[in-house]
Amino acid sequence: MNKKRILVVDDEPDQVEMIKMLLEINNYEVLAAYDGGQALAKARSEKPDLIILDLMLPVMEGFDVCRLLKFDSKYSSIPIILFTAKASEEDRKAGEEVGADAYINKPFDPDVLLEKIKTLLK
Amino acid sequence: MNTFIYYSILQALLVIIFGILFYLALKDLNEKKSLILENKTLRKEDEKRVYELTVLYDVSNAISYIMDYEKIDRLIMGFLPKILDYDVSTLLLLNDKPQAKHSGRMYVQRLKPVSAEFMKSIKGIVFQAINVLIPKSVKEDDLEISEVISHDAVFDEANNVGSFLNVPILVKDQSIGMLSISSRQEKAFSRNDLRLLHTIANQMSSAIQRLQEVIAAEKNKMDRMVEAMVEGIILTDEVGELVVINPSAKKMLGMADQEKLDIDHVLDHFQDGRAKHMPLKARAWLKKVLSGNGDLITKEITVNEPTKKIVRFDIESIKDNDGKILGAVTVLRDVTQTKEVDRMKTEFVSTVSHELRTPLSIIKQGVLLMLNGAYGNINDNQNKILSTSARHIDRLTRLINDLLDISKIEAGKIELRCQAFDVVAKTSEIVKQLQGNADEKSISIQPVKSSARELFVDADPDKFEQILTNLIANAVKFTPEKGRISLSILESENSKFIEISVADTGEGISKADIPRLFSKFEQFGRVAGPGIKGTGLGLAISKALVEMHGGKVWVESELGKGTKFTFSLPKAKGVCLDGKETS
Repeated sequence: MNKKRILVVDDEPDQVEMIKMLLEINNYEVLAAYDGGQALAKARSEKPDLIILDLMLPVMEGFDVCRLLKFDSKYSSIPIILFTAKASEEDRKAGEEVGADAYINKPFDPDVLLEKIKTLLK
Repeated sequence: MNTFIYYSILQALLVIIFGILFYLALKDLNEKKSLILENKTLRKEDEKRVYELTVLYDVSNAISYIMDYEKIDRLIMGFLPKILDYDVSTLLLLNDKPQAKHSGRMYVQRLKPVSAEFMKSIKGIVFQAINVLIPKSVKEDDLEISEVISHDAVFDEANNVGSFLNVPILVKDQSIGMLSISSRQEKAFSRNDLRLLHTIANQMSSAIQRLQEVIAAEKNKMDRMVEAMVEGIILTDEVGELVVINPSAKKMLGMADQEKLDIDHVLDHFQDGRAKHMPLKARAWLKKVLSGNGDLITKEITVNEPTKKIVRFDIESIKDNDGKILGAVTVLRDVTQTKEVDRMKTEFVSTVSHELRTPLSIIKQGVLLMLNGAYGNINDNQNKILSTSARHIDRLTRLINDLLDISKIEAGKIELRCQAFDVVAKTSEIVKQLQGNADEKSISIQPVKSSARELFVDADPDKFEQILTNLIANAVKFTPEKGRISLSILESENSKFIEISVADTGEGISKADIPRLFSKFEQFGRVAGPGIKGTGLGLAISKALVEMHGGKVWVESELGKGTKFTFSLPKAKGVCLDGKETS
């Protein structure tokens, strides 16, 4: 069985690394990006099975990356999990508006993240 | 012979001398007699003068302590009959600042019964006289007339005015009134009576003038104070007419100095870019306060250009000792800076918590990866260290969340998303989620008791969850092992609220500690067991959230027996405040 490929985007390399370790041990292949521009480019070139996207990113904000992908029929089927350290209602609402499939707050429970990924990849 | 003649002459001379002396003595006696008589009359006159002077002295003494116009009037009317003999007296006084027409007060004192006709002609005389003194017409209808000492008028016996005296009351060479006495008899008053009446009128004049000066000085002091105040002050009388507006108020409302000053114009400056019809609303609030429906109204507006200030104002009624409304005072405060500081504080807390979350997140994932044995089995000690770390990461996370919540609540930034939902089902759901925590301490959570199968509240479901989770988590924390937690949901007595209670079998809270329970960062010496300490913010947040819904939180506790927290939320179809309106 082919490993599912997940794109992890965060401007904090340690965060990307930690999620990468978590996902790899759970049998996922991980691609990494550290800013909004990279994220968009990688999403388009690699077409991952799922994207975990931080909101506060250099170059282009997570919201914009999400919107650009979700409003493009070629990529709109890729599930996107937004995650942020800003646990505000407005952000959650904005996340819904740009078409994100799930929304989690930092710090998050690894099990919760894995559960969300599992559900979205079904 | 010679001797005889001499003797006779001497005798005759003596007779003549005695005669003259007798005559003189008699004449003297008569004169003295008339002098005594004259003296008697004079002494009577003197006594009368002395009496009059004493009365006048008393008047001037008494009048100098009076700080009230009406009391001066009544004092004068009371003294008048003591030194003057008359049938009817009248005192007419016009108000300080005559506007279009004169207003004032008039007293009529009847010492003896007189006919209605008499009264009518007396008033005619008084008004005729005053209108000669003051060119503008003074009408009886504009005056407040009161009877001081009254005798029933005799209607059948026609009597005309026989004599009268009118003296003007002058203040700074201006006539402000008229004092009159009248009698049915002709030539009833002497020159002396006129002098007395003048003296009394003069005393009254100086008392009024002194009082005017005192009031003006006090008013001046007051005006200076009001002018110097940092707060804006707008004062209106009982009908809502503008009395005072100070420079601070004008500045805050963006009014130019030379703008016309009436209340409508001032209220037109209550413009808020974000709220429509603010002047109309302000007018309605003022009216409400003046009509006695609400003693104090507090609102906030963001004044339009050019000031762009955030102004908080309180409209409050001014009442006399009997509770009669005399007017309203509006105090304006510029809270622009305070608001800005608040905003910066919230932003700071939000940024800090954001900056804290990212590293916390990384640590948590690392710890949990190891704890879950992702990279091989760990031994008991490693497990202990990692689980303790994980628990404290959670504690830090909760603290950050609570801090963020409290700062949002304080800044009024929390919005409720109210909807009707079944609180019974929701409660069972929350209990299920927390069952794990209770199981760890072998605490049994009893099935939820409710007065009906379904009870709907109008509230924000997320906030409800936050409140109830906090109360249940507290109960779990403070209940010893094998304890019991019971939840009940009831309709309030007035059927307007649903009351949700969480009762535990913990140590209980002492009466002295209860009032502090809901303050920030209060943690009590309650035996919390080996678990993790809370943030000390939970109850403060819960209370604030419940109150935003218009509900209440209260606690009943008995040491050694347990504690019961209850909070109420509006029953569905009730009013759910949006949390922004803080009136």
